[in-house]
Amino acid sequence: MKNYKKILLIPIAIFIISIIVLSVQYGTTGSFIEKDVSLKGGVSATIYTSQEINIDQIEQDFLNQNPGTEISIRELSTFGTKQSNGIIIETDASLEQANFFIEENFPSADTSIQETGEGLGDSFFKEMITAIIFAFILMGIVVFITFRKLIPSLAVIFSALLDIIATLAIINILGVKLSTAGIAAFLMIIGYSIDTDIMLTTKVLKRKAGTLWERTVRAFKTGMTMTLTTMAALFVAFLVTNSIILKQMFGIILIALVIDIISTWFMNTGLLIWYMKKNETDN
Amino acid sequence: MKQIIKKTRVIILVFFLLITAIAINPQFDTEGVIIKSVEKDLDGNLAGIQPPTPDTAPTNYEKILRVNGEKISNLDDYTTIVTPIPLNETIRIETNREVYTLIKTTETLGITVQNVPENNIRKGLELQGGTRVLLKPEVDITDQQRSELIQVMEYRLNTYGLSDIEIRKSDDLLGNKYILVEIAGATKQEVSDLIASQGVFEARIGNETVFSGGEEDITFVCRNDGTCAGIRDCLETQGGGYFCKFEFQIRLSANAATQHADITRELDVVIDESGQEYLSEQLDFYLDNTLVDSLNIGADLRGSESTNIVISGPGIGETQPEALQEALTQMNKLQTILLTGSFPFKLNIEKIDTVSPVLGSAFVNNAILVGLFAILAVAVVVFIRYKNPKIAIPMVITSFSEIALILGFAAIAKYNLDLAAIAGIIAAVGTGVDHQIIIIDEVLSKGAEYSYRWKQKLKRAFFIIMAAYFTTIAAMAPLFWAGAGLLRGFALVTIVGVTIGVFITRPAFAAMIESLTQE
Repeated sequence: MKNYKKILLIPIAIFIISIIVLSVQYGTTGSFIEKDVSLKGGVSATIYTSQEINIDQIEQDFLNQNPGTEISIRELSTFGTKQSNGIIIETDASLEQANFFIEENFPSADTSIQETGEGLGDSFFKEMITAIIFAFILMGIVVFITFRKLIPSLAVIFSALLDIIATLAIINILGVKLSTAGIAAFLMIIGYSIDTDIMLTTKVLKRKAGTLWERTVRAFKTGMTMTLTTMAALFVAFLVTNSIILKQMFGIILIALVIDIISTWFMNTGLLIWYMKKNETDN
Repeated sequence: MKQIIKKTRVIILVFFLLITAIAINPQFDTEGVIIKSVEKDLDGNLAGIQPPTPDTAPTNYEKILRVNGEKISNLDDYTTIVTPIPLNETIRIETNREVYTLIKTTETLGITVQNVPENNIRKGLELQGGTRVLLKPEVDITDQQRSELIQVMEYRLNTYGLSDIEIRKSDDLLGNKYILVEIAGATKQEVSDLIASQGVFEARIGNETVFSGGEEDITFVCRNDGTCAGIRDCLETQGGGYFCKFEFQIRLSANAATQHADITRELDVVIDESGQEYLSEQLDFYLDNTLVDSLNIGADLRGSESTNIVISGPGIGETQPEALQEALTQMNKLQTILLTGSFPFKLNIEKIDTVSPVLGSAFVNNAILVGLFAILAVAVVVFIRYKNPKIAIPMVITSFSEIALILGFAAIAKYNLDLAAIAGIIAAVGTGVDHQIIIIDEVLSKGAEYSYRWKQKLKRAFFIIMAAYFTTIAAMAPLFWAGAGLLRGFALVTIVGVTIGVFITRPAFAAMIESLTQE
């Protein structure tokens, strides 16, 4: 209980490290996140096939056929087995080139192909960043209206900010290429992370029954159940889904929920207790 | 148990679930095939078959049950029975509404059929396969111009034979105006060509335009009629590939015919090696400024106001069937463009997504599995925490109800369920579980300092829930305007889902918990 100021150091450290990671990324690549073809333009094809797959061979064939292009290939496997059931190709070649290659090499495969123009990818990315910033501001306004106290409201908002920044840093370190759906996941993070923070702040700030510590512990029990159920559901969904788009969304939210445990129970709680203690002594 | 059913909040939930069941209208009898679209003035239409309106619910389409007395169970049956029937034969089609007698003059009978849908949930791109194209005009256009463009495009795609299409406007924060086209089912590369090509058709002699595409110059285009349209010959080329030539007749308007006469009058007559007499210039066909084909003009046409003109063009392929197919495709495209005219401006394809139908149905099955496992995982965690099935079971019921109500809403709103919508359902149900836990912990809290009454406890739980609800709406709202509307479906479904949750399912959940734990 006395250490609430010290535990604030953990989220602060995470925040600083995350900012450094993102700055380094920005400094070296010119963007603070690695984008996939849906955000930077290009063709992405998911090919489900029972054919024998030799990734190096496919890559060689593609480059021989389309000189001057770039290609990256990943293997897909069905849930529960290690057996490969297809590949994902990402390339800056044209849709016609990619289609031609796929029809020639995987004539009977089921495919899903996506082409994004470079201009659209770029403007889409900017739009999404704007959307996240707007979402964040609107969320902040709702929080202020709900609690009408500066410090507790800021604590909630910082907690959501830490979730976003640290999650961005982690997916950067993991080398995840962010897709449009991945960005939507960040909007979901705002929603999910806020739930526990609002619950905590309400129980600690607005309730009178029990001591400050008792109220915090009660909120912790509820909050951890909330987070753990969501994590369990997402983890299972992450394993079972066959959609790479949903997989990325689930993965990102899972990471954010782990961070949210720290930001809610170390940072938000720390700040809130600090604020309550200060008010008690002021009175 | 009796107590639960008597609670007003539970009654409200059951009421909405009933509406959902009616809206989704699950079908247990999926015999037959539905009539998805009817082409005007062709066999089916002439026999009196009416096309369904865009508002028709999927389970209300007219169903073909028998063809020539033979039972039709599915699409395969239909194809096996209809395809071998020779042209000009009479066919008897029995539907769930009427019996039609029609004469087969085209392979398709001028109707598109599909398997009977199992319910009224409209599947979007990722769930049933298809193509989604995002287009941007090359120049700045007004809203009015965009609406006109969409009309021409709809006409063009319908004329081409595509019925299951959705074209809508979409904008982004920067003020860019887009057009979003979604075509259900299997679609080929040429469709995106058809959508994006401006379709300016010109027939020129030398530098002078004789006539252009659209109804002003062209009064009739021969289609689906072997006597005036078809593939004329296929040849092997020197390079080893094949070359097929298509031809179809058109009729020119009086003005265009005069124009033809005026221009050809100025030309000389030349004689080729085989002794045929031609005019000194050829008739060149251009589509979007690319030369499609050139034809010699017979000497007898000089200065004549001829209204019947033959349009031709090539199809090239590595094998003969490939070349034939290509020629047919090109012919259909050109016929469509000549009939429907060009777009007032050029369009660029910004984004194309194509999903094969097989992947679509695999996605649906997988999504159901994901949902089941996720809710099961939640139930396990909740059971571990509270060790009480009286809490875990209502939770599972509530989560399933939320999914059902969202699907019911989608059916009523005629909303196409796609991947973005599925993500929205996940977001909504996920928040739902969080809120149910808040309710449980609030109403079950014990101890002297917590001796509030049910109503007060619920009020306190719902204070947190409402605050969280409004933050979720705040977080989703910007997506309505940002990013060319590509994620609007996600935002919409999330907001609808959490709204249903906050006002219908979560109050009912609280009522269930109250009855079960106070016994």
